[in-house]
Amino acid sequence: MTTTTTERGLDAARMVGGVKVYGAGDTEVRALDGIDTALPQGKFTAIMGPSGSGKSTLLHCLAGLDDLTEGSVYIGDVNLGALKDKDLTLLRRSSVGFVFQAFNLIPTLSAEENILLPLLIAGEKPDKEWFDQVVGILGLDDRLSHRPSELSGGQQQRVAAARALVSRPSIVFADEPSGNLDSQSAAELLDFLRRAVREFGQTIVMVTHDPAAASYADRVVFLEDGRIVDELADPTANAIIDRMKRLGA
Amino acid sequence: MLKSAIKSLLAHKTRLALTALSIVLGVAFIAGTLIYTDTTKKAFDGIFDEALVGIDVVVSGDSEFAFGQGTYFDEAIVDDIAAVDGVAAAVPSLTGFGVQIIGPDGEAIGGMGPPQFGAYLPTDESVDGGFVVREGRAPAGPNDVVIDAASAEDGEYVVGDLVPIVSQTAPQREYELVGIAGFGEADNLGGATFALFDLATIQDLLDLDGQVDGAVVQATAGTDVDALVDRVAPVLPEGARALSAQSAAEEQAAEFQDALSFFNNFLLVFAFVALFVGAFIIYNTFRIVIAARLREMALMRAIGSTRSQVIRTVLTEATIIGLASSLIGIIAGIGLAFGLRAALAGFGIDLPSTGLVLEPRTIVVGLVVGGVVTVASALFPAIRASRIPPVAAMRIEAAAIKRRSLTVRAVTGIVVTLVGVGLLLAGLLGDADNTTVALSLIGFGAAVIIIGAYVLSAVVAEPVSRFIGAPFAGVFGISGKLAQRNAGRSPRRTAATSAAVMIGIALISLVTIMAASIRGTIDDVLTGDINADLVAAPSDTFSFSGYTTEFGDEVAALPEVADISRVQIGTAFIGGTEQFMGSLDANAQQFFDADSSEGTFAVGPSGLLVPKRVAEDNEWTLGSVVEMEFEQTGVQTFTVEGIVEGAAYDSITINREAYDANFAVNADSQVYIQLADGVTVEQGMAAISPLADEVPTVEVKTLEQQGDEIADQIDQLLQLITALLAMTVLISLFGVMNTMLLAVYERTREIGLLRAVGLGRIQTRRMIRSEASIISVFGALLGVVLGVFFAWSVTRALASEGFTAFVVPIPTLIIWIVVTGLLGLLFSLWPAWRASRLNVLEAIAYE
Repeated sequence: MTTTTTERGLDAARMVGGVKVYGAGDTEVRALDGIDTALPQGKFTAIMGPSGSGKSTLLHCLAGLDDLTEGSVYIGDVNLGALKDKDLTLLRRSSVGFVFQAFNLIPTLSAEENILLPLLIAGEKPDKEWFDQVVGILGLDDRLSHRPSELSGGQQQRVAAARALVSRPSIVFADEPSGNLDSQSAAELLDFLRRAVREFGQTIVMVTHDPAAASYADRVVFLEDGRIVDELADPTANAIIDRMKRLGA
Repeated sequence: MLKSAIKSLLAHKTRLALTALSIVLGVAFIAGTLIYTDTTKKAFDGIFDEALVGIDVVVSGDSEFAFGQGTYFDEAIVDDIAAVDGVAAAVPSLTGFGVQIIGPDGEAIGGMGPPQFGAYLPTDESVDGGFVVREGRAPAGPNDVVIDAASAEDGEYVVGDLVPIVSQTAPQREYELVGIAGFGEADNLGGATFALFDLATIQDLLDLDGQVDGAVVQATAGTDVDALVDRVAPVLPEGARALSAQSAAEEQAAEFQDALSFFNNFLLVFAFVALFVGAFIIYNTFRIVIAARLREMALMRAIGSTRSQVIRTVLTEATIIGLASSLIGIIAGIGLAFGLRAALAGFGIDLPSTGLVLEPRTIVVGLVVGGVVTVASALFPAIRASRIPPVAAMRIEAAAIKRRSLTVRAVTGIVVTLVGVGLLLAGLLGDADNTTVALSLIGFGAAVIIIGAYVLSAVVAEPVSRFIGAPFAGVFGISGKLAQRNAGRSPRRTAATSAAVMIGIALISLVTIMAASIRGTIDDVLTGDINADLVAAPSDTFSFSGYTTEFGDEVAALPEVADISRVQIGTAFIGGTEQFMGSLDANAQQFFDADSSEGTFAVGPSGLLVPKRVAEDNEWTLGSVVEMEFEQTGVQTFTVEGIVEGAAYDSITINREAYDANFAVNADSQVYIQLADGVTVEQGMAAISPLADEVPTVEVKTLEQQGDEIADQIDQLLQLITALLAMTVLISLFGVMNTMLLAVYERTREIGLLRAVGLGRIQTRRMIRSEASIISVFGALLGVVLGVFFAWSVTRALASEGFTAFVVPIPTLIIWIVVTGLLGLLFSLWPAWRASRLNVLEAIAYE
């Protein structure tokens, strides 16, 4: 499986004038209130913000899981708004990877089958070398035949990460991937994600509320009330906490 | 708590509707059958009441024979009755069986179970006995006939046509159709055809010249009816009795009910099968629904509800659902009763249409049964739910209720099944004189076996569904593989869902195998044990009516025929029960193989030829004296002169002389023919056919043809029963749909995940449909296995009664399995559609 062809330097994904409104009249909520952002290829971007800032909504809209009220989203040079459900599904299958906070795995499939899921859905053969490499780095070699119920939380998330990467998507979206993990497992997972970016050139966008997790990213984007209010490059955990203190006030 | 229960129910309307559906269906079938049964009873009560309007006293024979020919008296008794003080008029009555109306195609109209009557219709309408001449007039001469409206329609006869009529003792003759009649408002008498004549003509037709079977009496104004009955009784000959019209009507209605009761009982058995299926559906649905609401239950416990409060809440909801659905089910049952009536009319059984009767008893039964089943089904899941630790409100993982191991389940299943087998065999093999006890044991045993099979099926659910799902995984890729895994992931739930399917298919398999085995046994006997080139027999295999003995005489006289052997049938009370017996010719041995014999085949006028098994059962030997009570002649003494063992000898027989002496109607049932040397079958047929044409109810055929015809008629019956059983299969598939809808609902998050990583809508639907097919096939497979077992036990038990063959029509059974799988697919279209329509984002975020 190859990624959608993008030239070096082209953004893996971008949003232009993104507005997302829920409800109407008195109950109207502007989850996204005019977002312009680009997610560069081969970089690890973290999206942070307090509850209700719209960070999850931003992620969902970028990933094609939700549609904007106004504005447009591009993955590579494909405008998501122009796609019908069938094409969106195909796009998700081939060009996008997901890691959710929990319930990432299909309980009836083994770890190996879960990892290969997007390829099984497409009916395609996996790249054996790539598969072995990913599994090796994630330390899942002896877990492949196990069902999710037989795996620890950390192992489950790593399997999810492996799945997200096995089809070499253009972009991986992660929604609080380490949120349910203890600090050691979290560190292992985030380390892997960073390596995927550094060594294999993957693009990862992660939503998190945890400064320690965000510090693994190349760049942090801060959201408040549906708008991007700040950015931080090459963040450290402390720098992030400082910025967040400023925002909260 | 009631309010919160109702609120909670209404909050999840889809779940409510799904749970309710299965209860509605089960109760609808019970109520529908009860309503239908009550309606026919009332209709016939009404008809027989009306039939005797204007009549005060009825004189008839007091026979106890269910299959008898009737008792007849000299017509002079009518004058004797007329002479009694208080009698204004006495009109003779005469009715006989086996009077067949021949259609324009040369075949008899009607038959296949319901009898064919011939009767005297008085011209005086006030004593018409329920017959209503709709067109034309009553018969008035030796050439007149009036037939029932249904037969007229079947044969496309109109007033003025010539209608061929044949009776058991008379060859075919044409009569002029002077009128068309109904019985009350019905077109025939519950499927029975009738042909009406004037007295002399019907007497001639029935070979009962100068005889009647009773009389109807009109009293003079102001006479006390009961007193009149007492005055009439002494003038009556032996075997006759007088009843007030009211008593007579009640009795006739009761007799008719008895005749229909077999059918009614079958419907009720079927209704209970439907409810049994429904119980499984309800139990399964509640298990799933409660599992889905575990978090809610945990919350209740966390804020302080006790375990018993949780149980009570669930049971209150169950009771509400149960009662409400039962109510709807009763209403649906009314619709079903309409449908039943229409369906039966389509089979030619026309019952008088009165308004449908909804007895209070039906409502009570419906509510109680539906309510009890619902609450009982919800009880176990409720108790399990109450065991959930309150902490699960926050962490749903803690809710994983420790699963009892499948080993325990396997043991339980085996024990239950063995108990059921014990009951079943007790019923089949035990010599219970009481057939009700025997049948109850059989029915109960079968039900217990089914429950045992259900319990055991969970143990094999995972490996078997993996096996069944393998082709799906192969053909449909990931959709099929997921379906294969899902079908086995909750073995208990798969077992509960497929159990309902299993029941219907098990019964269908049983019936199919029995029919094939009966055909096999008959073929064995016909081809193996009977030595004849041709046989003349009624074209309607199920007919008890015979035909004129003149036919046999004429056939025997043909040069092409070397010898004939005739068989007659009848009933007699032997040892307190009415049994089938008959007569054989002295040359029986030449035609019917005997494995062994004692004494002689050519018994004398008071001799009996007895099958060995019967002799052993009764401890008779050669020379034993046996008393037999005949309908017409009372108790007669016979001596056992021959004991024979052979498949073709299955009942006690006397010789033809004795038969003629003791039976009112002297007719032949079958004539077996051996052709002369050098005469081919074709030549023989050519010679005999012209004789057979004069007696249209008789057909001459080879033994193979006879076997084929019997097979055809059995098949027709099989189809009827299968059609009804197929409805239970359909109910069970609603259960599959139910389960799939709930499963989709339960797996919302999982489906959301699949869609998020790229599973298409089509693939999603395919996954759901495949799972439903696998579960359905699993149920059907189990059903076939059960059905084979049931059929095997029945045939083994009946082996001593002459049941030789055990034929399993494997292709038919395989077709049923495949069809069930396809139907499962059909019933899962909606759940599949819903799964594919889930909004991905909402699904992933679903709690």
